[in-house]
Amino acid sequence: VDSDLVEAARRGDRDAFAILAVSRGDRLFGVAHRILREMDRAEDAVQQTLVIAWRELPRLRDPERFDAWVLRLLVRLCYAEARRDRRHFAVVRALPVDGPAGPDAFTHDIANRDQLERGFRRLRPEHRVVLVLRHYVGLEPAEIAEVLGIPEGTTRSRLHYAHRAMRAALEADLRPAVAEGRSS
Amino acid sequence: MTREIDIERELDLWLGDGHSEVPDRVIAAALDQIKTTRQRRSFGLPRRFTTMRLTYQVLAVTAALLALGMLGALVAGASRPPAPPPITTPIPTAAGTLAPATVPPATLPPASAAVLSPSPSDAPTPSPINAAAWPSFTSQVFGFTMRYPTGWTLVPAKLADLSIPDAVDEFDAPAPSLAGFNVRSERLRPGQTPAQWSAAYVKANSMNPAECFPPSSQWTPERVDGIVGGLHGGAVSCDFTEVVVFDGNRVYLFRAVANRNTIGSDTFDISLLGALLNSVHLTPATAKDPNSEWRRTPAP
Repeated sequence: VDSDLVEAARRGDRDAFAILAVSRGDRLFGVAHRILREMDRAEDAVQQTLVIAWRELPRLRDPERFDAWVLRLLVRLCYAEARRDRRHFAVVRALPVDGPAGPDAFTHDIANRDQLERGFRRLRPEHRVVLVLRHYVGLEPAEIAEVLGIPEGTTRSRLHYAHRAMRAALEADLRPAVAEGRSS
Repeated sequence: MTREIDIERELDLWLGDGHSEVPDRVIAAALDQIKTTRQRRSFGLPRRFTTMRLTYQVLAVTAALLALGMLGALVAGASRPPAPPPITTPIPTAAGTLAPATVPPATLPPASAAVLSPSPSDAPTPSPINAAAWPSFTSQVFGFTMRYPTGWTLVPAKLADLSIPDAVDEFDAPAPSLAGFNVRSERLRPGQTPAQWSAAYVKANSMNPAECFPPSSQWTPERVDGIVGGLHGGAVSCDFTEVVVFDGNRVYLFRAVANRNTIGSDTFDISLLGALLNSVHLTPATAKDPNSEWRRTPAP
């Protein structure tokens, strides 16, 4: 954490905040895009997050917690975005594939990628969030709990539920014959 | 043939792909916006106010408004020309017809109306909140009954939601208001005391501003169904006001938010919160809990 920059920004230094914003922008956008699954919404969430972070920064008690604090703001805005219009949760559209599929890379298969996308979109926002913080940001459950302000047990419970749901989405694709006729 | 799925690896790969570069215009727009955005330096209310009991807060605000009203009347009386004749304003009656009512102009609304109105900027509402006329609600899951304002949308938690950690009974104010109120409850862990639960709860929320999650010893005493609980939050920076009450081996959390979509915008109307809480009846014996996992309860 750039503590000096955070301290300067807390005192009203806009240039210092601009450096922080530029350096954190990609990660914030990556998180928002993965949770919300839409570029426009992710852009809105990041922009709002930065403005609120600037406004509320003097109230951040510990500058060392800046990154986690901004991440929390972003997640809350993603929840708000999700609440604002739930229609987009029903839209199924796979994320673009950035690279060529390797011969043994299971998820690089378009069909499976689509299953992951469908399964992910069926998740509630709080379950999407823990998956993104765990598998994209790389946080441990205790760190996720701290970012979200929830107990670690809750985090683990959400992860468990989300993993189970995503596994079920893939298994439904792998075992269509078995899945057929079975109540979920 | 069944293929074993390593779901964590699949998610690592899948979520690792995709867009990760924020367009420059997004950062530029944000930085442009903060040029005209002032940072918050101080809290809206002094600490001693936010830690008052709701009833004392209502009394304090009422007294302040009365004092302002008297001062205003004195000033206006000294400098204002004679009052114009009363204005006749049509007011809807219960029968649906319009009956004339006489409203003297340039009079201050009753102080109690200004406090009790959910929107103080609206026209004065001389009657207090009448919670007895509100619809009632019995939770299927969390062990309580209460009343909620007419016109609000109820989104109740269902038994099937018990597997979802964040399930709540939710009450949303009608548009354009974005105020909301939600309730949840959970069993304490075996042997866990309310003090231990509260300490763990505060610790789990340590990233909130200090004034939002102070130690439970600093929470403001507030009664719910005759049981003394603790109120915290309530400052603009918190975006919530919450009352925590323990009944037997169960903890109830009553949370009010002024705006469900933004952060730090406003505070929930305290008299409305008081009316909501006054209507609550706790029935912990009727609450449902998952058998296999303790939901939400912070570790002691």
